[in-house]
Amino acid sequence: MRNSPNRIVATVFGAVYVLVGLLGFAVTGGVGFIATEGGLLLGIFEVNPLHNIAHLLIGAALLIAGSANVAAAKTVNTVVGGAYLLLGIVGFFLAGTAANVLALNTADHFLHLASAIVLLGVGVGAERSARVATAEGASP
Amino acid sequence: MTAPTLARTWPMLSALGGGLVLLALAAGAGGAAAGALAVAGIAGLSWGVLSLRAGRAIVPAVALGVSTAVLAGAGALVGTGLAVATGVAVGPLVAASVFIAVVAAHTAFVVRRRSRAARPTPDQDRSVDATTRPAVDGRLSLVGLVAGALLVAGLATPALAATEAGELAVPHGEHGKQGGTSVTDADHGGDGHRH
Repeated sequence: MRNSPNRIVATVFGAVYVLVGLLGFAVTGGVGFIATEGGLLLGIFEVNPLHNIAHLLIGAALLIAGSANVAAAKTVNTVVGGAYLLLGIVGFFLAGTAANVLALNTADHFLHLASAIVLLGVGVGAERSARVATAEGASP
Repeated sequence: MTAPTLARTWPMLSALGGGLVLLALAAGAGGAAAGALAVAGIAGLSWGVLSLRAGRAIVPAVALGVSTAVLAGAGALVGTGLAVATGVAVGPLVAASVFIAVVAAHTAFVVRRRSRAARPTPDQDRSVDATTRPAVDGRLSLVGLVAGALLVAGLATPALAATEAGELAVPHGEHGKQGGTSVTDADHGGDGHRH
């Protein structure tokens, strides 16, 4: 794992997102499941219970992929990074509206955009031969 | 070799940031400017992802031409006052121009290096241009990727917030709800003013 950028990033980001998901429940006690204005995590990031669950699921997916193998980590990093980038674009058209089911504010967008760039960057740009190497290793 | 390794992915990340801001500007612009900004934004995002995948700046001469044209167009929009007339916010356009300028500078460097390598000299090192390394290769480049992502997000987020789409996304009348706990400076793109 130490020599794989994809596994390092997946594991670190997975752990952070699981932690953020768990901490989020501490500030969303009286907040509706998909309330458009949620509680503030660390006084900055606006979250609601759905947002917390999304963080937990994404964190778990990254952690599992990071602890599995390079190909899994690379795939999950790329998919989550791409999804976050899309969320970053779409988010600016949703925040402040009833469609903002994840309760996002600008600090959230900063985190999502930075996460998206790192995850997509490492997923696309690192260990290009991971799939090939895994496939060759699996074949008899 | 430390600095190039650390900043190796930055032109690609810069293209991603520029593409995002240009797309957000396109969403709020009118007329031909909207189409041109959207095309430039998609081109920036595509070039960034494909270059990351290739581990190098792809089609550098084309990227240099396009990024120079975008910079000239942005300058013309601001200089002639058309930016205001077409609903293009000047601040985000300047931020996008910074991102595009990084791409232009990098691709200009690559084009220049290639033209030098193409000259027939007996002791030239052709391996310089024949790199097939992944974009992220080793811990230093990974640290560079994280640092670059923070830089790009740090400039792109307030720029996106200052676009028409971003301003509509956080209505000022909603600030102060929940006993004022949900208000953050970041809601204004971190510009420090309060209501």
